[in-house]
Amino acid sequence: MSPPHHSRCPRYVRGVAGTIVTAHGAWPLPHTLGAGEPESLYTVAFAMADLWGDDAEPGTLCIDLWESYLE
Amino acid sequence: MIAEGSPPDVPRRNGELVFEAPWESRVFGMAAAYLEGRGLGWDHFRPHLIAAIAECSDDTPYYEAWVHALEDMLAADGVTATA
Amino acid sequence: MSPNTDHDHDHGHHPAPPSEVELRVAAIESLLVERGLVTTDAIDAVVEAYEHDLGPMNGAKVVAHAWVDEGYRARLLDDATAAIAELGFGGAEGEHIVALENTPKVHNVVVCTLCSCYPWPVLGLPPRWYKSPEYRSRVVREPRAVLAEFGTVLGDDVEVRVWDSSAEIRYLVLPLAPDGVEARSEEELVPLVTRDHMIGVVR
Repeated sequence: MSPPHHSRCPRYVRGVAGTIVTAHGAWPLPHTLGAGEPESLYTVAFAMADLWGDDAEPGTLCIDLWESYLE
Repeated sequence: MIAEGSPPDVPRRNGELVFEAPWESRVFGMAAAYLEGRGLGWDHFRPHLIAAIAECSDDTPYYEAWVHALEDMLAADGVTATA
Repeated sequence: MSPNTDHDHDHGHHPAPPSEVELRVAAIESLLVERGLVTTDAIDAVVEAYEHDLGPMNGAKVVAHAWVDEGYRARLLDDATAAIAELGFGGAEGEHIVALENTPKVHNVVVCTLCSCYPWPVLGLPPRWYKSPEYRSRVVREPRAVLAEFGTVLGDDVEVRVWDSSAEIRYLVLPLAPDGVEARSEEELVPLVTRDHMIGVVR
């Protein structure tokens, strides 16, 4: 049984708009999630307010996501 | 072999033990040695650890999730018959 | 009949019977050894390495070197994996390290919300709190509150950036150099750099 591929995308960023900080391309490693083409990795920045609401602490959350996690 | 209990000469980092009990060090060492022996990186183990952590309750000791993950990985790899 | 003098021996502590998890671990080890997939020596060697050779003293050397050597700092920020290799550090979970520079306006803090990813070659294995559900869930939502619990209070003019190590990249915070760093030797600076600085819960 292989774990579902969405396990590498934490729930708290799903469906939220962020900004690509760095497009790593195939660095560090080309990654194939499930079956399909190797994917690029992106470091994406989210505003805390977009993740947690206007009352949230100000700040930025940066996370590394593969291409198929992005829309 | 790691000694039982916490004798005063067990090394500490920043005032805490790296492994709190011998079994923690064994499960870590086993996972590492297994992966190395098969030429696999920690990325082979990590999805199983992520899933085990997600399934375990918040008060499950961290390395117990490792035991689950190791068992799952060995089952998935065909080393053991059942998960 | 004379008393059995064996009863006078102090046998010290009597170990509790093995717990369920200890039995499972022992069973897995037996199986793996039987199958020739691991050796006891190999397991011992790994444990030895992670208890002795790897730890934040490695990262402290990296940071102190960056504080005194501008060229090294630039290389560390450009390609941390190569820069830490210059000092002889590398290996598992350190194949893709990125150094995050703290500045007067930016404070970085690192987490792995999915499990416990951590730059082992420079920091060793993570502390218990780093792996806790509490830290992993709270620092991405209320980093300032979490930092305050570590005694770290940041002004409103400092941006907090939380980095979730969700893929292969492992993050190492490069803390601000202390005042008067120019007057101090690298050896004096190394002990000032703690694990908590390099995770980012301390500024």
